[in-house]
Amino acid sequence: MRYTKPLEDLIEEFRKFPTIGPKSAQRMAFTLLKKTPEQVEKFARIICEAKEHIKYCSKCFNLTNSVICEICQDPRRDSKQVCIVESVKDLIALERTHEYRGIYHVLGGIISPLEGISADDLNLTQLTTRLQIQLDEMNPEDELELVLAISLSTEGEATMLYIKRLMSQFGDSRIKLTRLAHGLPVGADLDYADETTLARAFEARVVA
Amino acid sequence: MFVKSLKLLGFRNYIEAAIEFNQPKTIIIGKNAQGKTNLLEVIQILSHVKSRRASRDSDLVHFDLGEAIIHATAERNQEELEIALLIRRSGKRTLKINEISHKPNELLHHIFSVSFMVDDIEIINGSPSRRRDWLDSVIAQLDFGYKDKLTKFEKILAQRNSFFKELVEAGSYYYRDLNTSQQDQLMVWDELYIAAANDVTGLRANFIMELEPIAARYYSEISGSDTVLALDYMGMQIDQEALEEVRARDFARGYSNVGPHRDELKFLLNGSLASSFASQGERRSITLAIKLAELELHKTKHGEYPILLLDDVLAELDEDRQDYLLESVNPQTQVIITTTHIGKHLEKWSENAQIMEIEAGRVMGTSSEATLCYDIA
Repeated sequence: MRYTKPLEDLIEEFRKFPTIGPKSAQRMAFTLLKKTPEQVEKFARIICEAKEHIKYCSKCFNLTNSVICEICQDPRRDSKQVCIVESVKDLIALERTHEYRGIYHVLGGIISPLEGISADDLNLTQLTTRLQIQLDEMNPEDELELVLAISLSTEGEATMLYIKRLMSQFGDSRIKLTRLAHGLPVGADLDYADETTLARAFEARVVA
Repeated sequence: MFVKSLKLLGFRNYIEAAIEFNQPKTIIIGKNAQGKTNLLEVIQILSHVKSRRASRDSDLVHFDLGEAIIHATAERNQEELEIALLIRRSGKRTLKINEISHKPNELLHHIFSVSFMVDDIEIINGSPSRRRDWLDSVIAQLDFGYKDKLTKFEKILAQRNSFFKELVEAGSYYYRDLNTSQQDQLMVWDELYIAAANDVTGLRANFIMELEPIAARYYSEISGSDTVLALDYMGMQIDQEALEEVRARDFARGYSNVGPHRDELKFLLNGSLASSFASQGERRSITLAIKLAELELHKTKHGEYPILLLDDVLAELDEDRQDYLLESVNPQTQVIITTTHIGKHLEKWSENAQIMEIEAGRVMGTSSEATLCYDIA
């Protein structure tokens, strides 16, 4: 026996979400059916409104409900420090640290030919354009730091190397490229770190 | 290195089995297709993660059961080791070492074994990929960083190949067809590729350099002649220039044409290629020599000999070579042999060996009172 068509469609839609398998999709669909028509309408409205009002920041591609996101608008933020991240999720993770006071640029992915993602699919032309504008307004002795906060996977490394090439073509000595240090996770035992992490942490050791 | 006990649940044709090893020498005896080799396979999995005989984990699970459990106790450099491995048909594994969860690949670093199987002569006779597989599995046990480096190279290779394919599909067959962004991306993949490829090639070349003199010494002892065994690893360190030399071919095939995935290893006897000119007996001697050399390298790296697994290979060797093999193995080394019968060759060797009889996935003839009372999941 199969579900009636509308219910099956509903389950199918839920299944399209990441990490949602058939069982979870079924549970979500049944939960939805138990709600009152008003509740469901409200839910549908919230979804539509979210989609309608949430847009990408025209400067940094963070999510926002206006043209420029809160971070880019914030005058206390240091615009001479631009942190380059893969996704908005990573931006949020960095924001949670309350450490970083600069601004961001969200790439919207990383280079991965296997998934059909090339450098041209990332928000990189937008990056060079905005950096050019910024450099034009800057004093000759100022520095513009680009912090690469990209994962250390093969794809992440390729993306970082590509950006490095892009920036060297810029040929502006005021641009300074940095990347996050790779090292030991806080609170973890030394002997549980894998060899690569440990070796890298050792290489990048700092004065105590 | 000594495996003291094995408990199996749902592994291959063993519904349930418990084995205690109480001698350095064990002879597993039984008719064909009773499950002798499956026991050696258990130890291979515990040391190499994968088994050459199983392409999927579901092959390892008993027909009637959903999952297999391997539980082993061992001693390594006087330290106790307890390993519990749960193998699911899906391929997802759960590993506990001394009751602590680890990633399944962590198995590579705890139990060390060298196996000598009937089809190992294919290392000489078979395709280059067979030789690379052998290199990879041995080096992974000797150098703990190797597996990560190899995995990294394979990932970059897959991405780079995919990058070439995409270019070709888009109608770019030459470097000059690329736009600046594509040229930059190609340079990026080249740079990553060169570093990762050279890491792998370097470790392989190093290994061959260490193995060769030991294997050559064994070979001349086995053959009793002054024929010289040499191992010629054809892997080269690559640079940007090397990649540009094959650029046209890379484009044409949408594939990376130089790198460790294409390397060849040659076995030479007095300078002649063994796979073309050596006799069957000489080839067996080469296999024997490299296996014995593997044992020595383990001893050097890990401070003790690994477990030696001999799967029915004695039958393949003539009497002199059998004797040589059995006598040249250090008496402290744990050796597990499978055989269909204890012939003349094993008579002397079997004197103080533990003899275990296997019949249709059951261990007969040894006391197996130990019960399965552990918990993993």
